Amino acid sequence: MTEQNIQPSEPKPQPVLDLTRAPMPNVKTLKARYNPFSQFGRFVAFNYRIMKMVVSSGH
Amino acid sequence: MANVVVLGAGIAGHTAALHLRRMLGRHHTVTVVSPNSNWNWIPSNIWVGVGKMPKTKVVFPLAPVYAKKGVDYRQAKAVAIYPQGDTGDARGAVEIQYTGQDKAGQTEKIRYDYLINATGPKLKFEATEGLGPDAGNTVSVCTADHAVEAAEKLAATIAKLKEGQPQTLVVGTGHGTCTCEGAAFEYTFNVDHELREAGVRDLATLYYLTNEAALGDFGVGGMIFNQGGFESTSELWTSSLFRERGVKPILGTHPHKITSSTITYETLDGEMHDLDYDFAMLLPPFGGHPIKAFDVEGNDITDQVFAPSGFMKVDADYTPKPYEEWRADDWPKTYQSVGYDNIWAVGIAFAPPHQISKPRKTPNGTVIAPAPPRTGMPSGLMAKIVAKTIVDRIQIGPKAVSHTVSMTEMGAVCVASAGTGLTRGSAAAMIMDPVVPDFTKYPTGRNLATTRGEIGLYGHWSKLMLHYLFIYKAKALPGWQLIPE
Ligand SMILES: Cc1cc2nc3c(=O)[nH]c(=O)nc-3n(C[C@H](O)[C@H](O)[C@H](O)COP(=O)(O)OP(=O)(O)OC[C@H]3O[C@@H](n4cnc5c(N)ncnc54)[C@H](O)[C@@H]3O)c2cc1C
Repeated sequence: MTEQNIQPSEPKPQPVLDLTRAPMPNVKTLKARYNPFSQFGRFVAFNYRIMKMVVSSGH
Repeated sequence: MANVVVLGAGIAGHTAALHLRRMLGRHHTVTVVSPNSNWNWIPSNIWVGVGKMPKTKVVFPLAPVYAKKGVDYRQAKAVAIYPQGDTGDARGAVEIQYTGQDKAGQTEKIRYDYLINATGPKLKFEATEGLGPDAGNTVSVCTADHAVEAAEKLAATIAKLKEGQPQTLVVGTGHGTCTCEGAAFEYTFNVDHELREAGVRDLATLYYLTNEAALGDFGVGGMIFNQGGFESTSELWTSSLFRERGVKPILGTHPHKITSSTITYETLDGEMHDLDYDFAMLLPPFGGHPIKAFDVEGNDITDQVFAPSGFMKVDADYTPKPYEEWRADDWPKTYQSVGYDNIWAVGIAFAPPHQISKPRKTPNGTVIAPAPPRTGMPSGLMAKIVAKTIVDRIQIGPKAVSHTVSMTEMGAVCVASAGTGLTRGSAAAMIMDPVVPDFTKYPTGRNLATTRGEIGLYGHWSKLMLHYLFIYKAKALPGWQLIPE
């Protein structure tokens, strides 16, 4: 049996959105996203906002 | 004595039934008709779909809850409504076809004094050739069973990546008129997280194929956030996440045909493209369930009761007008059906008056128009106010004023998890308040004090908290009514 060297076909070009101008988070931001203390504060604030919204929609 | 019948036991129908039962005396009956024996917390199907949660944690059987609460439960689907009654009885009736309870296939006509249609969406995979689990090409996370299959196929794709074979994964919308882009967005970043955890992200190409014309549109025309003293956009915020995670967005798409290896789609400029893939999760467009309506003589009046989309017509302004001319006021407030003051449609089952996101057409005439999302919180809230209206009608009389709430007043919480784990999890957490922008009330259409988009570990905690809270509530455990919809 002869061994065939199968080359994967070139992927077809796709009209992908150019994201090179989208802001990249810096190291500080990325770290803050996993800091349990600051995240706990955000957790409380987020749920406070939800409750505010619930109350204002006449729940 | 009054008989209230609720069609559907999803977020809207189940909420309505529990509140009705809580507020009405036992001499009134509450009957729920739903073809599935289980309740499903659909937002957590995302985690099932990546294998992070078993199906058993997102569903539970409805029958014991209804037995405990005194709700008459029929495992059946509604097939026809007789809003004016029939020649034998002037009371309205619903024809149901059993799907379980040892009566599968049998039909029955049940009478009602008040009827709530909360049948949610029909998943219209057939709208795109080759789309969906039945066609065997793409997967879905719309039901818990679909999500189980998605997880299996994703695991097989990851196994191939681990063997060193590059793979192309596609997540998004399977039709130009899909809604629920938030769910596709969420699944994208869960898949991304799984690929990273498996150590194979560099071999995988991950595309987000969407009908949205811009990132962050979510079928609501995008949002404006107040961030760090600036007005920022959901487009900028989501673009940042896509760039950071290396996910490739393809916007404004309508897939025409899907085979086992290729998605053929059109973009807003009218160009056709072929995308070869190994794994794809594409959502279907939604429509109403094929429920017929008949008058007293048995004549078909379906088109008077339901819109062409199959959703039920309610107190919205359906006058055709250009997109630019719609107003917040066009949206329904009481959810009472057109022509019948004892029928309501809530949750996804009501026909929205128009798109929130700008509808577009390609030069070839293909419609690419994200449909308006009707998310969990509004669905529950509509159900609750309709339950209150019915209770007032029964207790005060037919003149009782309807309770109201509009999607221009109700917000939505969308926590798009992007990875699990109490310390390593992450989620893009969004509050959209209100869902339908009201430019007469807010300059940006929405309340800047509450509308938010943030990413972080806390988002994962929030998603987990909502999962447990809503399953607790749906099980009608002590104090369930204190948990807001
Ligand atoms: C993957 C995914 C993730 C989501 N994530 C979020 C999120 O994070 N936040 C959010 O707010 N929303 C989310 N949503 C949207 C949310 O799930 C819906 O808003 C909600 O389920 C709508 O409730 P509903 O009761 O109208 O419909 P459903 O929950 O779909 O319930 C419909 C019910 O009707 C029954 N039924 C169907 N046909 C018939 C018939 N002929 N007769 C009688 N009964 C019938 C069904 O069995 C079901 O019980 C998500 C949706 C998906 C698909």
